[in-house]
Amino acid sequence: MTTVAHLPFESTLRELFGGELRFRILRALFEEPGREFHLRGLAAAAAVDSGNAHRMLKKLMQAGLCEQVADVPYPKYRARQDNPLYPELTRLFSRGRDLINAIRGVASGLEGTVAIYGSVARGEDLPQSDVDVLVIGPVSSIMAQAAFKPVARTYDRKINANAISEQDLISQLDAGSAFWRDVLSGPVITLKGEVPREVARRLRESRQRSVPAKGRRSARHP
Amino acid sequence: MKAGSAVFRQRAADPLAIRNFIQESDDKAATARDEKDKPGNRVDSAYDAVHMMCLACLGVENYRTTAEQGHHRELLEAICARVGGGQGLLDRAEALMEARNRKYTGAGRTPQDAKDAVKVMDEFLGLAEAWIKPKVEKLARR
Repeated sequence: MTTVAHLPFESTLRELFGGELRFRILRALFEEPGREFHLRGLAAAAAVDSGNAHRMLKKLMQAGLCEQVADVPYPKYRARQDNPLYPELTRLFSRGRDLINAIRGVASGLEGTVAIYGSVARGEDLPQSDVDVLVIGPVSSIMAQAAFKPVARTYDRKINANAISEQDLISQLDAGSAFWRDVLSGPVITLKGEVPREVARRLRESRQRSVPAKGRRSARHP
Repeated sequence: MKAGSAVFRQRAADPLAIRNFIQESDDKAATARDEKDKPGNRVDSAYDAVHMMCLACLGVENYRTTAEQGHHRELLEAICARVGGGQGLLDRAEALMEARNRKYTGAGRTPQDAKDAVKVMDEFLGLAEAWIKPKVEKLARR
């Protein structure tokens, strides 16, 4: 499992704000109201390089979206709170984080490891996409699903919880389940706990088994 | 029931159909409780028992469902409210319905799913049976 830092609604916002770089910088600036960044800190928070971050900040300052704040030895940057659109932008960029935090709140009450996988974790979700949640622990999918219902209602997003015990997951991987192999192989947003070591080991073995043997492969594709 | 819903249609209560729904619900509940059966069958049967009881409850209210998309969910919502189940029970019953649909994803159902499916089914049937019993008796006296 690869842990990522995507949030719900990312693909929509990327499209709306005209590209990955602009979206990432704006998200870092508006996600936490009032937060100030040095250039390097902002670049790290947005996961972009400092040169690109600096170029984008210049444009955003010209547009009145952010401002420089004097600091020693280097200036800091923050979103401009006097911009008439500031409250709306803050709400827009924090919506995905709020949803994740609400899901994390429910996850904290469940026993075991909890992570988001699927389109949200890949940063490819659309407004109508389900939020797929994986629970590895001694809880049924029914009770996990029921636990997430209030959050689903609040955010008007369908949450699809798949729960499985560690032992059952190992059995599924050993039996060659492509479903669970795909779930665990993709990117995830970890909300609680870590993937059990034994599961990670069996996943590696399952992946190796799923790769076709060289001879068979060359016979099919000479 | 939602005003203007395309899911429900008025129909005079049919005592025989209602008895059949209740019998079907009892049979499915027995399958769900059978610990020797496979978890997937038990989850499916638990949901079917709930669904059949919902149809019986709807019948005594002089309604039937159409095959409109979303009729399972709307029926569950309507009957849960009718029998006084509250939001918590509706959430669990919907989760049971979704667990039944999970078989189409290839995820499979676990023994823990089956155990909790029976728990939710029993909780729902307990309320629904208490609600429907006097109504069925009244229908039989007609």
